[in-house]
Amino acid sequence: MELNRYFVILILLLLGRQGLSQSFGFGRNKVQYTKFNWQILETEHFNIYYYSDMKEAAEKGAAFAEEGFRDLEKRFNYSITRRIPLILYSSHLHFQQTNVSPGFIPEGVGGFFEFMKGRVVVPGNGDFRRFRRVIRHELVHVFMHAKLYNLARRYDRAEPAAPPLWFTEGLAEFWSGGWDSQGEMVLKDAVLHNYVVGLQDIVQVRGTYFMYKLGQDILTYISHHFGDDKILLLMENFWKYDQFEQSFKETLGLSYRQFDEAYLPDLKKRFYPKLADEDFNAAVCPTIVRDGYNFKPVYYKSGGKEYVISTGNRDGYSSIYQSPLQALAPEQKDKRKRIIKGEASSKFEAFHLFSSKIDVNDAGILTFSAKSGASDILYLFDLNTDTVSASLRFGNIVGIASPAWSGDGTEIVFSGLSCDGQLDLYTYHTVRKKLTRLTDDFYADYDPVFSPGGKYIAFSSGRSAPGKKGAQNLVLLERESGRMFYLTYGEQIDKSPAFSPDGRYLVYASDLSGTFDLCLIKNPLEHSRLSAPLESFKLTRFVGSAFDPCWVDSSRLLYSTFENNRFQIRLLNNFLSEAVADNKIEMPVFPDSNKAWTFAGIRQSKIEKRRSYVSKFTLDFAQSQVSQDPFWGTSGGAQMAFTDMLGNEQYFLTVFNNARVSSDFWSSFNVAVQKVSLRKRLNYALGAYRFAGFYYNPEDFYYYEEKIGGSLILSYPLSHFSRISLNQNVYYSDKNRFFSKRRKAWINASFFSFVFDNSIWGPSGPMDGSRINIGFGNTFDFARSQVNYITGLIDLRTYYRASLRTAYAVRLLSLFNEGAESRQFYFGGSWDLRLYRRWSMHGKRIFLLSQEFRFPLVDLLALRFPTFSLGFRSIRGALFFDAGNAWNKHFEGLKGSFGLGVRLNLGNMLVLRWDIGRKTDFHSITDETVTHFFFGWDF
Amino acid sequence: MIFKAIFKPLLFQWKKVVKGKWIILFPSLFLFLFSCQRPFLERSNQIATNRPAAFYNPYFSDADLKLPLTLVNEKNLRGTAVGSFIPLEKQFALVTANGYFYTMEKEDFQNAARLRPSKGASTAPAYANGQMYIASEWLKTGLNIYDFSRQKIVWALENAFSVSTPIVWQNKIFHAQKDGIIRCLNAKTYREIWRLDMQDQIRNNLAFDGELLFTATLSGKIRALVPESGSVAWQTKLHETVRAAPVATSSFCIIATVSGNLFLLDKQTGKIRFTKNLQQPFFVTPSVHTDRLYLGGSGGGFFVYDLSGDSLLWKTQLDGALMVPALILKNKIVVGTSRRQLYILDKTDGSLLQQMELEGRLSALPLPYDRGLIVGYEYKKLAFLKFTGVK
Repeated sequence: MELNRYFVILILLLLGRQGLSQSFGFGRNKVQYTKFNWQILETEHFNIYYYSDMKEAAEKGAAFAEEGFRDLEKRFNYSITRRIPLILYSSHLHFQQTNVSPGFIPEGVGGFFEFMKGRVVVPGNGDFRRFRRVIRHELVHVFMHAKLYNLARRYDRAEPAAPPLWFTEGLAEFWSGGWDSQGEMVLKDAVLHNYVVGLQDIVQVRGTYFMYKLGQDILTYISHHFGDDKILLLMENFWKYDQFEQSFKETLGLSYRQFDEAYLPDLKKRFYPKLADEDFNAAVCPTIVRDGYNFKPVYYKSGGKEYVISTGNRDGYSSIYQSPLQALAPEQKDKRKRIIKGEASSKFEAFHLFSSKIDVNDAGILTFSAKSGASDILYLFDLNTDTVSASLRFGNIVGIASPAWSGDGTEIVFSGLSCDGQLDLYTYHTVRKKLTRLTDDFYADYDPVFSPGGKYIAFSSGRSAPGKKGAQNLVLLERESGRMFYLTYGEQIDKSPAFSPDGRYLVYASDLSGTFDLCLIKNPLEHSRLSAPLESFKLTRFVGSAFDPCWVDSSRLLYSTFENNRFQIRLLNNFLSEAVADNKIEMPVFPDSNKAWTFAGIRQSKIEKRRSYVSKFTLDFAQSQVSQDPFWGTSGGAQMAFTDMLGNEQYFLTVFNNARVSSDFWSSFNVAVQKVSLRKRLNYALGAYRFAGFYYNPEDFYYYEEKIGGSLILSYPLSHFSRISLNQNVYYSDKNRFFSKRRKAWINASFFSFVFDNSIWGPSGPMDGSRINIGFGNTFDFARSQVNYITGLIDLRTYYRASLRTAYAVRLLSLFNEGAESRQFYFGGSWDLRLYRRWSMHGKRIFLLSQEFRFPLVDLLALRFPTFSLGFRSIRGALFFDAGNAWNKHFEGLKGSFGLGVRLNLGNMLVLRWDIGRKTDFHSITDETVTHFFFGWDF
Repeated sequence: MIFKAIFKPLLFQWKKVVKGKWIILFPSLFLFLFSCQRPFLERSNQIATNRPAAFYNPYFSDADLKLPLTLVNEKNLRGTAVGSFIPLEKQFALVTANGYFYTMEKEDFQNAARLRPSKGASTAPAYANGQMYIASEWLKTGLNIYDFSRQKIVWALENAFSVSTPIVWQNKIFHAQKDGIIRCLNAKTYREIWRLDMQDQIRNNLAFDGELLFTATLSGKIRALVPESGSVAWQTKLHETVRAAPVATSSFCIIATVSGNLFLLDKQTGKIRFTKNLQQPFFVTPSVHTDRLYLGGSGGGFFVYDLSGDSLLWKTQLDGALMVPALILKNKIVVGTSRRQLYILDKTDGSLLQQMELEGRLSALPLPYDRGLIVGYEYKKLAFLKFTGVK
C-alpha cells in the first residue's frame, strides 16, 4: 500500500475534476460537440459571453440584463459594483456543454448562478420572453447573494443563517415574473389532493418544482398581506440569526406555525370553491396510461387493435411506450411495452418529455425527436418492424420539437431551433427529402400540425400583441400564400392544436381559466378573415390540468393530465356534446392587422466594448491541510485551482510536505502542477510533478522514493456514455529501499482504457444499466530495464432491474500486474470481497465475482424528540454473494462470503454500509458471523 | 508534609527570584496589569459642550469645501461606520454596524478609543449633557448611555432594540424601539415617564422640532406626539411603506415613501398639503435646510424642492441609490451612492463640481472638517478627504 496517501488523495482530488476524472473510473461524459467562437460584449454592468452564431440573441439578452439590473437595484435597495459575468447559450443543447459547472445539466434546468466567480449562465430556447424571465430570475439570485454577503460583512457575521431554498427560489420566481398557469396547476393540485405543506413542513418538498412555486406563492401572500417591503426586511434582518425562521418572526411577527395557520386556510379558501364547478378527471375519464410520468399521447391502430404511443419515464430512463387503448381498472397493472429506451445509448440520449410531441402516420411510422450527440435528430421509427427507418439531422438546426405528419404521411412539420436561437417552423418531405423553412422571425412557434388536406398548418405562437407579455395564441398558416390568421387571441396560453380527421374541429389546450383545459373550435378552416369571431368552446372543467389532446375518433380524445401529483394519460369520451352555448368562450375581437412586437436589443451606445474571448485565470479555491499521524508524524499541504471564466481551462497546483525533521524538508517536498483543458472534445491534462517521501509495500517494505516527471492524460469521449483514455507518465525514479539496494530508473508508464457507463442510480448505488472499464498498460524503465511490467484491468458491472426499486447487480473484476517490479493490488473489505478484513489480501492478480440483490428495506425511519426530529429515508438492503482472491504466482483457491447488507444514504454525500454474514472457502462455511461497518456507494 | 515537600522548593525558588528584585518586579506587574485594560474613552475639556442633541442637525453645516478633494488620510476601524459622526470639538464620535463606539481626533484620527456596547447598530448616537446615547440593534440592550466623566456605561435598557437615534431634550430621553414602542425616560434617573405602543415597526429616526415628536412607522402610520405626555396630537395613515425618517420643518412634517411618493403634511394638523410621485423608492431620509428639501431615491434621482412654494427647483440623475442623506453645506451638497460614487454638487443648480469613486459605499453621513470631509465607507474604513493642490 502506498502510504504517501495524502498527496495521492490530493492528486486524485486534483484530477477529480470534470471528465478527466472519468478516465480513472466510471461516469458519463460531458462532450464538447460544438466549437464555440466566444466573444465578450461589455455593457454598463455586465460582461456578456456569447458565441458569434447568436449575436442578435446576445444583444437582446444584454438589454434584458440591464433592464433587470435597474429594476432589481431599486427592489433590493442595493447596487452591485462588480461586473457580472453573464454567459449565454442559444440552446439548451449547447448549454449542456458548459464547463462553468462541472456536473451534468438536466433538461429541466433553465439556467443557474454560480457562486465562485459569480457567473450567471442562461440558455435560450427560441422564446425570448422566457429568456428574459430566466435572466431576471438568475439576477435575483445575484442580487440576493450580494446583498446578504454585504450585510454579513457589515455586521461582522462570519456564518449567518442562509435563507432557505424556498425563499431564494421563491423570490427569484416572484421578482422575475408573474404567477403562471404552471404554478396554479401545481398549487391547486397540492391543495385539492391534500399534500400541500406550509412553512413548517416545506423541507419535505425541498428541491422540487412545487417548492419553487409554493415559495413564490408564499412571498406573494406576504407581499399582499404584509407589504412588499417585508420581503426586503426578511433579508435585512437575517444577519442576526442562526435560523431564518427567527428573521421571519422578527419581520412579520409570526413564527412559521403561526404563518401556516393563516396561509393554509387561505389556500383552501382559494381553491376549494373550484370543486363546485370542476371535476377530478380521474373520476370522469378512464385512465389509459398510469404508472410513472406520461406525456404526449398519440393514437395508433394496427391489426384491428388500438394503441396509445406515448413518452414517459417509469424507471429512470425516458422512453417511448406503447400501451393498449383500454381503460385501466384501479388495481390493474399497466400493460405497456417499451418501444424505444432513451438515455441509455448515444442514439437516444434524451427525449424532450415536456416539450416535444410525437406522431404516428397511418403506415405505422412513428416520428419523434431525440438528442443524439451535438443536436437533435428527427427519427422515423417503423412500428411494424421495430426499427429505425430514418434518422435526420439538419445542418443549422440544433433542436427539433413536436414533429407531426401530414394526412398523406409524406411530410412532417416541426419546430426547429437554429444555432442563432430562433424557433421556427419547418417541413420535411420524406419522399423528396426536402427541408423547407416556413417561418423565419423573432417569434417562437410551437406544436405545428397539418390540417387534414395539408393546405394549412395550425400552430401556437407568441406573435400576437399579448405575446409580448407571455401569451401564446393559435395561428393558422395558409401554406400557399404564407398568410396567417388568428384562431385564438388573448392573454392566455393556447397550445397543442389538433385537427379532427375531417377538419371540422380543432381541439387545443388553453389556460384561459387559470390552468389548462381542453377547448374546441368549430370550423377552423372556414376562417379566412383576421377579425371573424370563431366559435370556441371549453370542453373540460377539470381540477387537474389537461393538455396534448389527440383525436382517436369523433367521440374520443386522448390527452395527458397532471392530477394528484402524477402525469397520466386519459381518454375523454363524448366531448362534442360539451360544445354548447353554455361552454362558449368569449373571444376578443381579433385585430385587423398583425402589429409586430419585438424586444429591442441593447442600444449600441450602451455597449462599452466588444472583444474576442481570451482566457484569463482567477483563483477558484485554495485549501490547506495539516495532519498528524502518531507514526508518520506531521504532514501538510495546500492546493489551489485557477480556472478561466468559461471553465474550459484549469490549472491546479498542489504542494505537500511530510518531513519529520527540518533537514528532511526538501527531500520530503512534493509539488505538482497540472493544466486541464476541456475546451474541445478531446480533453487533455498536462502536468509536472515531484513526489518524494516514504512508502511501504509488501515487496519493498519501507523505502524512500523520489519521482520527478511529467504526465499527459488524453480523454476522448466517443459519446455521452463511453470514452477512451490514455494516461502517459514519464518520470525519473530514485528508489532507496532500506533492506535492499537502491534503484534508479527512467520510467515510461502508458495506460489505455475504455469506459462505458449508462447506469442510473438509486439511493445507494446503480440500479440499471451497465458499467465497463477495460484497461491495459505497460510500465518500463527505458534506461536500465529495471522496471518492466504490464497491467491489465477488467471491471464489468451490470444491473438488471427486477422491479422499480429492486435490482440484481453483478460485478466481474480482474486485475493483473506482471513483470519486473510489478506492484501488488490490495484486496478485501467492504468495497470488494466483503466480510474479509480490509486490504488483508494482496497480490499481483485479483479476481472477484460479486452478486447482489438490492431492495428497499425501510422507506422512512423517523424519530421525533421534544426539540427536534430526525429522519432517514430509503434505507436499502442487499443480499450478496462474493467470490474472489488475490495471488501472486499460485492461485490458492477461491474465497467467498455471503450475507445481508444495509445501506443508508446521508444527504447524497455519503452512504453508510453495514454487512453481516459468513465466509466460505467453498468447502465449508465458517461458524463465525462477521460484521463490517464502513462507508461507500454500492458497486 | 506533602504540602511542604511540593511547595517548599517552589517557595525557595520564588524567594531566590524575588529577593532584591521586588523593586523591579512589582512596578512591572503593575504596568502589565495597567496595560491590559481595555482602551477607554477619555474625558477631556474638548468634550465640554452641552449642545442639545435634539437640535443637532447632522445634515447641514455652514462649512464649505475646497475642491478638488483627495484622500489624505485613511484608517481601518473594527467596524463599518453608520449613521453620522458626532462632532466633539477636536474629536468626533462614531458608531459602527457591528456595535463599536469610537472617539478619535478629527485631525489625524489619532487617540482612537473604543468600546463595544452591542453587536449591531444602524444609527448614529446622540450626545448631550456629557453623555452619549447609543441605540443598539442587537444583543442584550437597545439603549446604552455612556458617561464621559465616569468613563463607563452608566445605564442600559435591556432588549428594546432600536434603529433610531435617541432624542435628548429637557432631561428627557426619547427612545423608539423597532417593535414600535416609544419610551420617554427621565435623563437623570432613567425612569420611564411614559410609553406608547405604535402597534407597528419603526425602522427610522424620530423627528423633533422642540414642540412635537414625529414618528413614521413601517406601514405608513404618521403620528405627532406631545413630548411631555406622549399623547397623540394627530395621526395620518399613508398606507405606504416608510423607511426614511420623517423630517420636521417650520411648517411641515415631510415623509418620503418606498412607493416613491413625497408627502408634505401640515405639522400642526397632519393634513396632506402636498404630494408628488417621483417614480422611485425612497429609503434615505431627506435633508432639509431653511426652505429647501433635498431628496435622493433608489433609482439615483436627486431632487431639490422649494418648500415655500412646493416647487421643484432642480433635479439630477446620480449613478446609484443614495446610501446616506445628503450633506448640505454652505454652497455645496455632498452625496454618496450605492455605486461607490461621492458627488459634490453645486447647491444652487446641482451642477457637478466633483465626482470621485471611493473604495466602498459610503456608510455614514460625512462630517465637514477643515474644508474637507471625514467619510466612512465599506468596509470598516474611515478617510479624510481634503484639497491638497494635487490632482
